[in-house]
Amino acid sequence: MPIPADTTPVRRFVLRWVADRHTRHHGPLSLQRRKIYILPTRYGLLFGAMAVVLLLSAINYGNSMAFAVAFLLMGIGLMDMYHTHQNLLGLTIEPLSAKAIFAGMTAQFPLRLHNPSRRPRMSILLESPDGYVTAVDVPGQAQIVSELTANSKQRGMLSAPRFAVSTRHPLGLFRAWTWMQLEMDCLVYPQPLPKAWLPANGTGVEGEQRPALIEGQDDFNGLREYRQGDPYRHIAWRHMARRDGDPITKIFSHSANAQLWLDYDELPELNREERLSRLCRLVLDCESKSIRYGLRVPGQDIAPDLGIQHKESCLRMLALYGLEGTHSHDT
Amino acid sequence: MIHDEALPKPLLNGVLLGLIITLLPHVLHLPAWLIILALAAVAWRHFAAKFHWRSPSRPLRLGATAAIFVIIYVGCGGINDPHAGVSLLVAMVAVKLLETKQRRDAMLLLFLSYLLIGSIFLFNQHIILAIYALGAITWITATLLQAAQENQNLAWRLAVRHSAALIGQAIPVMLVLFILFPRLSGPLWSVPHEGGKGQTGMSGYMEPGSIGELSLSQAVAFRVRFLDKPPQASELYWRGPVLWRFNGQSWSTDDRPGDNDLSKLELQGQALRYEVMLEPHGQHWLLALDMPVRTNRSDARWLAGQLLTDHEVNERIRYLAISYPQYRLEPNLSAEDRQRGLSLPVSSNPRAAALAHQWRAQGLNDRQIIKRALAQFHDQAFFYTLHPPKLQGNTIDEFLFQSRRGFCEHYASTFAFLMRVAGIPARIVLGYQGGEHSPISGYYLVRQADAHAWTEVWLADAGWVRIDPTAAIAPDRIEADVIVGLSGTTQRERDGMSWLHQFGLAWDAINYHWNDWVLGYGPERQQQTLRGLGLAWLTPSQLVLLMTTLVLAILATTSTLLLWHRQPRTETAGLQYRRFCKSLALLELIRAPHEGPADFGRRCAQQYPELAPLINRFIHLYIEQRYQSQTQVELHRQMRRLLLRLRWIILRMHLARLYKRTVASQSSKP
Repeated sequence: MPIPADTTPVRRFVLRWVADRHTRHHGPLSLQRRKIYILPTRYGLLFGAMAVVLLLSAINYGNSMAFAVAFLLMGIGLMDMYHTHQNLLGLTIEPLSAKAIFAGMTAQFPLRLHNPSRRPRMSILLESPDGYVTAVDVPGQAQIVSELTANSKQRGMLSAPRFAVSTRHPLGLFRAWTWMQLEMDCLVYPQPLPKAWLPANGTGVEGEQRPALIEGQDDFNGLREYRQGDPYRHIAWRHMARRDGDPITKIFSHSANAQLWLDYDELPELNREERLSRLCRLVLDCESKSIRYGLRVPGQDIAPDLGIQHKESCLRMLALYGLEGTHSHDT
Repeated sequence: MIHDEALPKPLLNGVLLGLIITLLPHVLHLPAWLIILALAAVAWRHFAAKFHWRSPSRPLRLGATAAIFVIIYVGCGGINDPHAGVSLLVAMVAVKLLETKQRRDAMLLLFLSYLLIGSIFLFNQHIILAIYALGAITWITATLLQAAQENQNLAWRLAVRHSAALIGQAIPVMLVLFILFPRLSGPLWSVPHEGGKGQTGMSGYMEPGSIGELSLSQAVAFRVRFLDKPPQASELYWRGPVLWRFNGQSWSTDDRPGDNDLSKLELQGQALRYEVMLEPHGQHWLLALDMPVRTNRSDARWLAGQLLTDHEVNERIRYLAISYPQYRLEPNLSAEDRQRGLSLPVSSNPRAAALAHQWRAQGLNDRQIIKRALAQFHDQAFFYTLHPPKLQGNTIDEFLFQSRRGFCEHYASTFAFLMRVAGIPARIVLGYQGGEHSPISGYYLVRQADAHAWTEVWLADAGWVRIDPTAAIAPDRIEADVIVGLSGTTQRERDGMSWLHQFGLAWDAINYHWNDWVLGYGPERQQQTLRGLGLAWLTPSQLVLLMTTLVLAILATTSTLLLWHRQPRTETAGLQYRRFCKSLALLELIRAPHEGPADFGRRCAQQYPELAPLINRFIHLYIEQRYQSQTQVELHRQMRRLLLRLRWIILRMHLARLYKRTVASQSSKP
């Protein structure tokens, strides 16, 4: 975690210390005693202050039962501290693979929490540095999948931020926590533009199609029987009414056999990120309209095809184009 | 925990219930209007949440706060008094309730509840209240647990169970801290004393009827444990104040410094050592067996046959004392004391005075006069009663010649008066007589009802001699409603021990130990305990170190026990199956070695169709458990419940058969 320049020296020291102690970890991580920290919450401080007030009045009035209550409360506080610590100890957290997202959405890093002991782990919090908190209870000897949420600002490979696993269970007087940074990446596609036009010059369009706006008017090419999977907005409602209700699908010229090349270099007036965002939108639109499309960026291309796998490899290429490796969470 | 979120209703109701529980016992010592106000605020908060009422406006709340504070400040005369402090706490709770909206307000209220329950003990430390407080703390902690849940609310039953477990684990820590935490002997800041308010006990003043009132009270005056062989019950005269001054109607202590010269006391015979636990009576004297010599209290001194402390006894105290039942006090009476022992108001009670003068004129000596006076009480129709007629004017004349019905103070007063008139120095001693021996814990229990007054007369050579004129009354003239007997045996003992009375004694024994060991655990008791543990050499800082070490040891032990308890029990399914088989063996269904659970279950079910559903279900669960890699808690619990029911039914069937067989075998015999 890079250390912001505007922090105080003490804070910077703490952050560096944390970073040194909690380096990136590959695979499941079990919470060890020496890496669990515990401090009283403000309620814990208030509780302690109350016990001290009782103790002082017990001393002053020489009152045995006030002593007893004060000591009982101290005992409760101590046991609470113990249980809070125990609530984390031994819990194992395993990173699972995250689903790719588009830039600007929140990334969900799935984590499997494994509780090897018989006792349930209640109220475990996964606290992301972006302020998202997920609460989860893990029953005894069980595994629960939960998610760590983080913001994504730009495309690329987003690695999971250093997050805190914390708990205040059972009484909320203490907070036990540890930091962990797990080797866990989330692919972030470029943010698609809300609307995109096909390349104006029609480069790469095979067949007799002229360049067309994908969203909007397509060339009407005739009618055929409705087949399952046809988009509803292609149903010819007027024809259907005439033909006693059997659905008829309008066929548009490019839906059947058109083939598009989406080319990075065809968008020269834009900067890199804008081009990628536009291409991203076009990939999505072509996919939803079932237009076969290929993708070409400088140095790489993917042959025209359709389908989820094709879409994902195209989006991955767009996401990683020009980047090396992953970028860390808050750069 | 998102603390600014609105308060969930179940949590709010939990907090409110906790407040009701903690507020109620404060009725015992705080003004009732304050508690009613606070309870009204609790009720308001409940309905406000139900019907979405709005909180009162800020100025209104502030105004109410200020008003309550002023009333408390004026009513209690400052805030140094614990009454005022706790009243303010209650008022704070009431005001806080008006603006409880968020989780953090609920947390604050819970902490205030803890403080409220702890502060009850500043007023009353009875054992029942302690048990109540433990329950209340369990509930408050359960609510705290509920408030700290991040996801969903626990079932209350579960929350209470968790909280009870937590408290169970906290109790060892509490015990260690309680025993080892260094105790101070003085207060940190000045504590206003209540000046014996509401305490029962005798005063340094006696008039007709003043002890009679006390004799109705079953309240404990003090308890005594003898370290030596206890004397006869009839010899148990517990000395309190000595009254010299008589104004014609009532007797009182005089303010003279008195003589604290122990050399005037000649001791004879065996010493008696004993320990007294004295209930607070708001006075300066310590009760001790006739004749006390010294105590282990540094603030107590001997003063002409009384033991006096420098401070009023406003809390329960404990002391060791030494007495000599046989003694000779002041064989040579100073002229001044002689004067004190003879002084009488002029021309009071002329008829009684005439009687005494007449005895003297008859030429009787001192001892004969004493005998004559006692004979008067015995031979004439004097009655001993709790309900003597009211006397006015010359009370002694009236009592001696008209009413002739009285309680010990009437007899003591009359006797002392007659002695003084006859020229024998006399004085009144107030105290207690007798005491009930508690067979359970071996101490003597002396109640306010045992309060007594007797006289001491001074005789040349013998010094001050105790004369109890009440004892001279003929036994058949003691009225039945008198609880205190004359010779130390009480009505209660004569009645024999009913179970209720036994229970009362057992309860008093518990209270005694509670008072002695728990409430009386101060610097001295702590030293005593440490000596018993062989730790008396520890300095306070070493004590704190030891305390910390022990607390850590407790934590380690607890964690080991809990971890051990939580180890997965792999064989439990098998264990339950074995128990199942053992139980069925009672019905002569014995599993053959080759029989699997399914076969055995089927055979049993055929034999006992009424048990079939239970057996089939159990076997089903067992097989499911057995062949599963992981034990499942829910299945396990079901199995246990089933087994419990099965064993119960089988046991009943088995007993019924046994019974039938026994009956049959008996009837077959001639």
